[in-house]
Amino acid sequence: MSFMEMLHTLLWGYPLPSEMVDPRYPLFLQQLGGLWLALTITGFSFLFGGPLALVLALCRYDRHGASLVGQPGTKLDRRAISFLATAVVEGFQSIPIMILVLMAFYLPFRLLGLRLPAIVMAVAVFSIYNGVYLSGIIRLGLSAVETGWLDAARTLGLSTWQVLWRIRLPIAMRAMLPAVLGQAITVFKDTSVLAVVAVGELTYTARQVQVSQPANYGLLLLLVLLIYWSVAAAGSVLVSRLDAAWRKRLAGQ
Amino acid sequence: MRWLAVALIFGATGIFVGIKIDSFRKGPGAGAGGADQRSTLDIVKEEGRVIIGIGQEAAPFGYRDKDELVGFDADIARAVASRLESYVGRKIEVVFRPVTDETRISWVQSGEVHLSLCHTNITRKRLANIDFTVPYGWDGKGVLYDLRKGRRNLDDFAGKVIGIKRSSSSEGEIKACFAARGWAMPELRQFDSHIAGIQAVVDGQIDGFTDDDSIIICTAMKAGHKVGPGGILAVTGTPYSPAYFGIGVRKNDSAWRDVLNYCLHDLWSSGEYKKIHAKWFGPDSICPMPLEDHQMEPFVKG
Amino acid sequence: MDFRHYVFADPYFGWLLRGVAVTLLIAVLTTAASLLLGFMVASRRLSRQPFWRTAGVVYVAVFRNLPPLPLLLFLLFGLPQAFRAATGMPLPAGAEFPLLIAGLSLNTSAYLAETIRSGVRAVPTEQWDAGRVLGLRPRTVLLCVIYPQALRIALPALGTRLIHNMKNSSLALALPLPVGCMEVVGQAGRIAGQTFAWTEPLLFAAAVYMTLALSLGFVVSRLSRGAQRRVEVLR
Repeated sequence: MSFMEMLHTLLWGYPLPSEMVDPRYPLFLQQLGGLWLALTITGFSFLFGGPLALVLALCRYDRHGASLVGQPGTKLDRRAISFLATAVVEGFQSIPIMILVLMAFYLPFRLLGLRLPAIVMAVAVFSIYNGVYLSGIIRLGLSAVETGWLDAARTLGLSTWQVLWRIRLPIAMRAMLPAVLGQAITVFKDTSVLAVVAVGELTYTARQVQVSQPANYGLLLLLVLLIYWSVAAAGSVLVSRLDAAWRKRLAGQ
Repeated sequence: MRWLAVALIFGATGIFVGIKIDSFRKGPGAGAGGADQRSTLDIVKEEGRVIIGIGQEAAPFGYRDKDELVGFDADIARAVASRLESYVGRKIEVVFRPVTDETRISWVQSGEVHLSLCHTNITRKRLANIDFTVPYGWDGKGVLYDLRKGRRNLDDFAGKVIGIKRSSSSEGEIKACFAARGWAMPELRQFDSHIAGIQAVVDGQIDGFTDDDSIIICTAMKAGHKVGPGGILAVTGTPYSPAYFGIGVRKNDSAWRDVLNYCLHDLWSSGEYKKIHAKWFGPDSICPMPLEDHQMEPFVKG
Repeated sequence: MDFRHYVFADPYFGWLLRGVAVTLLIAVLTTAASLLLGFMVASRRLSRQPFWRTAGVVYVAVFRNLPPLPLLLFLLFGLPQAFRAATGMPLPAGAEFPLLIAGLSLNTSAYLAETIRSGVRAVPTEQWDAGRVLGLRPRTVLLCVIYPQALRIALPALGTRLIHNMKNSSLALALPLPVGCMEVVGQAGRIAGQTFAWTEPLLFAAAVYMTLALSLGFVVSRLSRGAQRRVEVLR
């Protein structure tokens, strides 16, 4: 196997035998591997984890006392919901991703009778993992919005939800962007843990190539590190650019 | 807040687990949960396809040759599936799903795969969690070592560093073997894959790596390390802890297990088994294992 | 679900307890090493000499963007191969555990260096001048005046990262460590290999990490509340 072939395999994954095609889900998802699978899982984790994060963030009681879920006026309900959301967030954050991945692969059936293909479980576990961490970022972003603007919107007659969707979220979104991108880089790097349960992302692809090239495993891993690094570093540069631009605009206002 | 949250989580988990334990006690066997209670045979019949869990990292049992899945397990699986058609009475499509040494059992339990062929040794501890068909193969274990440092026997590894594959039965077996003979316990290291352990032997990081003879020999040979005279690696002589491989099926699903046993028996009586065996373990193969040494034939009669 | 057979049974529970001890050991060692490294790198980044400043920037840029698991795999599989290619000898026996500590510390220290640096930035510049006026050398000012305050400011972020570092010890599952030196998930995997029962040992391991992370989080939040008060008094 030449160097270029090795690189190609790491980027695109190991070829899929026709007998292994699972009719239950799209073919292109199964043929994905290597770097592209890692990126795809990261992407899906935002697609599904984003809404989850938003819900969790809204459920949690923020410092302005402006939790949006629960009956206004009955403080107890809001507290209970906020409490539950906090428990979910803190609970998932306290378990290492390695254990979360293993649990996703071994527990759903034993506990719930759920039976899912590997890639679905991988996406599910990373969505939850991402959602839980993103909710913290969103919560901070939402509480960073100045109350004056919200009060102004409310006096204009906007409802609570309108204030959230039209005013609070868009403003918070811009401030959150660097942190969210940073989180994306973290998730991308953490997908490497999936190698342990044989999901064919970048690190596992290296293991598959290693079967025929064991003497080059060191080189192969170096290549893997280089690929991870280039993507993550490019992301980091983008984050710091965005951060700087955001600060500049804040200073201008 | 944090502490209340912790208490809440633990409490909820505890209650949940408690309820589930109860439902498992009531359910038939280990593979209960909320899953399909029908026999796997009915599911296969209805869907017209059989999903086979297969290892893809261990030559000569199941490994990837570019975009093809090859190996002894893979050939047996295909042959069994083709025999299955006559028992089910319709065309059966074969779907392979790669399993690892960790998922080969849990996915059988969950029904994610209908049967699993992943060079799985039939052991009593494992029988508590799944069932096996009659044996379809066998092997014993040896220790792969660096021949450049001279010839070794098993007892030379007393107190030495030996690698094992994670989630294999090697740990218990090698300990039992060394304890029975009164040798100093080796220091064990767990490796993620066979090839990583074999390469660690070549690199001198560990003194030996143990698993089924055929797996370590073939995996090393496929990777370009010659095993035996004239090579840089060798495997210790008489294997310890010989064991049979069985096809893993869900616990207490005897209709399905019986049919698989019939298929295996058909392979024997038609001579197909011998052909497949000769292909992978015949005299010209990388790792010859004479069929005559084993009393496998009469496992299902009439 | 059968905790009595797969967790609280004779050899298994001992393995798991040992795993807990190893987890704690890894956490303590990597915390110490990465704090030390983090402070060293942070001082380099605050240095006046462009060479050291660049070196600090490069260190942070390299190790912050490398995922820990492939880094550890490289250290434990790639390094021995490279060492052998270079010297013709295998890496000395017992190098795995120190390499694991090194790998985790490299990763964490890059984050800590950034946190510490921004903590130092947040210390009012008058503090530097005050130290200078008292006749202290710049080094002494940094070590005895600035760092203690920067630490207090950065404490919440530092704590979060160190808890994350503790959780990272679970990556050792995928590494070829001596079975006695494996942390709690590794021990759970060992039990699973013999019995094919993943659920119970895995839940036990999760509970261990949960307890550790949440109680450490509690300690950190208490400490940083106190530190916050002192920072405000100083201002």
